[in-house]
Amino acid sequence: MALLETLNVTEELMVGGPATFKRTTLIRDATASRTCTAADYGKTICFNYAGAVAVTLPANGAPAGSYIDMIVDGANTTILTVSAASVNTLITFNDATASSLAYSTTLHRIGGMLRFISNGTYWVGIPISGGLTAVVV
Amino acid sequence: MPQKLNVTKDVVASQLQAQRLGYVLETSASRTCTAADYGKTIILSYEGATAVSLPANGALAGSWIDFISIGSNSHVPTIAAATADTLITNNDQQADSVTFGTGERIGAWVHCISNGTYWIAINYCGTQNAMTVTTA
Repeated sequence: MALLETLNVTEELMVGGPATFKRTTLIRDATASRTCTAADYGKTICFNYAGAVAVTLPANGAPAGSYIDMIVDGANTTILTVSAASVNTLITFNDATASSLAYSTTLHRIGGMLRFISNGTYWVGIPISGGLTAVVV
Repeated sequence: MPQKLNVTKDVVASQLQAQRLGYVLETSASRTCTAADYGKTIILSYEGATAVSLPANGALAGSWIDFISIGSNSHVPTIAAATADTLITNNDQQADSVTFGTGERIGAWVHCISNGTYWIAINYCGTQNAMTVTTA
């Protein structure tokens, strides 16, 4: 078996058999705001600031399939709002012209997880965590 | 072109296509997960109470394990932190475990990811498989 310490593929990596990725790159962000960039693609960002957290997605037009995962691992005081860089361009459930997704409802925050994936033109916001972590468009 | 490739640290790729993910079929009534399970999907199917214990807290940030239940409704999975009151999940930073009630089990999918200190359990099934949180 070929053994490498790091592998940097500038374009496409294809694996035909079972692929096991033990870790995703995870960032813990304890601040009140974050403007995401292309450097965040493929990463998981955990938010724990005790208060309103304003996150802005990268500009529309990211390469299709680019994605960023976001998780609230702070307390119920962590109020995450994720906005598209351009208003009325976020695609999410039942809304093709939304502006943001937020865990604005109290007791619907801890453990909330959102995935944002680009279709090449716009960002699609998907509430992944179900049940008690209701997200507000 | 290598048939198998083992990368001990980082893989960075602009575009990734993995046709299959690593998985384990677990048919027994209990499983104590270890670092060997990171990055894998554990498919649970035991017909009865199934006790799953996560690895100890402090796993490297981003380490993850997925659990999918494919047993019948009599398969009752419970996924617990190794240390009580440390599991972060729906509206609770000090939970012990998560499980699924009757009628909510088949197809249940839980994603557990470490933030470097604790495990976070996320219900990947939306509202289709309601997850129950247990806190002592």
